[in-house]
Amino acid sequence: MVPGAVATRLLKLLNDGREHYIKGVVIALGYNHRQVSDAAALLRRRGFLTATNNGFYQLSEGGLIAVKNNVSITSGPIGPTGAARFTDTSFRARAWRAMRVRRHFSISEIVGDAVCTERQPNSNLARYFRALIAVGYVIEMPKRRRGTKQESNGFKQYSLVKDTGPRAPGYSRKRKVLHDFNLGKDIPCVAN
Amino acid sequence: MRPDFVETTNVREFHGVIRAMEDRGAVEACIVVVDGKPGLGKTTTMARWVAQTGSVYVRANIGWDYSWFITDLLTELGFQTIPYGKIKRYTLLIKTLSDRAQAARVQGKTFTLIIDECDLVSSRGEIMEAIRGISDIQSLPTILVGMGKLRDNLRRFPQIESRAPRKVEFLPATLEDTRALMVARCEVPVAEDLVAFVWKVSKGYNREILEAIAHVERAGLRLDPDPGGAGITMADMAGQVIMNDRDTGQPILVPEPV
Repeated sequence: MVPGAVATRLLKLLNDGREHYIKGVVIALGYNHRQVSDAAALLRRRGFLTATNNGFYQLSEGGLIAVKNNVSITSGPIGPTGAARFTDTSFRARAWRAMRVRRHFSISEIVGDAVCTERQPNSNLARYFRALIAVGYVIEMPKRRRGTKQESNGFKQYSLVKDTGPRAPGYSRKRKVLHDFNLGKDIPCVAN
Repeated sequence: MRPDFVETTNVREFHGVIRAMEDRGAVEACIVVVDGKPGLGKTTTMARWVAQTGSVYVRANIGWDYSWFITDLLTELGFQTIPYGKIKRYTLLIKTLSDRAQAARVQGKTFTLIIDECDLVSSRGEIMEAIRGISDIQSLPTILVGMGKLRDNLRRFPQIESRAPRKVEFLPATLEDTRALMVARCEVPVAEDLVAFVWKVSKGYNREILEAIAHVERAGLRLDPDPGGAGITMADMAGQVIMNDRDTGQPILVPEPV
């Protein structure tokens, strides 16, 4: 069955705006009770169905507008979920791959490996490193490589100590987590 | 030091061999052997290649047996749960490699399998045959990276040697490579005499050339040379350390002008 098909039919069935008894709705739609109640829950989450009262369904103002606009209910998120999305073509994905080959590296070495057309790869990578360090995937080595400018403190050296797999972890500043696509989990991460 | 990646002779040859392999006549001749001494740029080349192409990269383990090797490949392809049974694992591996190779072709990219430090397992027929089998079935360009014994060991397996007609030996950098590295990476201009000196004392090892660049840059930024000038010369750096000798560890100084 196409995702959202039952919910769409329920939406259209309730288009008069009145309360409808659930058993009647189930019979009218021709689906089982579970399917109809799941569809009702979906419409409630979208704000199209008002809270039922002893087994009655009624469309909300939003639901009536949706019917008028011939809205079809489909699967998938209805807005930003905040969940990290994996892409293997991003700068950070390329950087992660380079880190896994080198194991011990400086920011400039990884920039050299991963950069394509990014405008500020160094600062981008520095932010990513801070997140990876905060969760213990990368550590900063105690010794720096000597810098070339007089006022330089030297170049930090890093080591990848926790390689969980080929997919680059994604950092969400909004949710303050590092999502590890290899492990399929969020790791709390407060990186500046 | 600028982080720019420089296409040296070795890198150009590597890319050329990969391109030639994609145009190859013999469908099963899809193994490339890349070897050379440490410090000649193999790791940098592989790191950039893997980063840019998303190729599958595994580091050989001296403890590998057939099962472990296949498991490591599956883990590298992103599988957290490995199926039980040799046939299931192998079938999953072949299918996944095929899907990834196809997806790369659709995007016009080159997808390869890279096995680094292959010297560690190159004398083991079981592993080398497994590599040959995977490479053959998929016509998957497979890059075996090693340091010294790899090429010699492959001669013991003629059925594999015949599939690796292309070999890339990373050689010491040429004078032109050294000049290209110094122009691209050094933040101060460098005069020709100093370039030639760096090439000579580094013996063409990239690691030492980069070390020299750091020293030249340090000296150059203190001297603040004219940006349009000839650059830092040997005379400017006379008596200063340019690099450490890789054999003895002793500092190499730029000689005083005669």
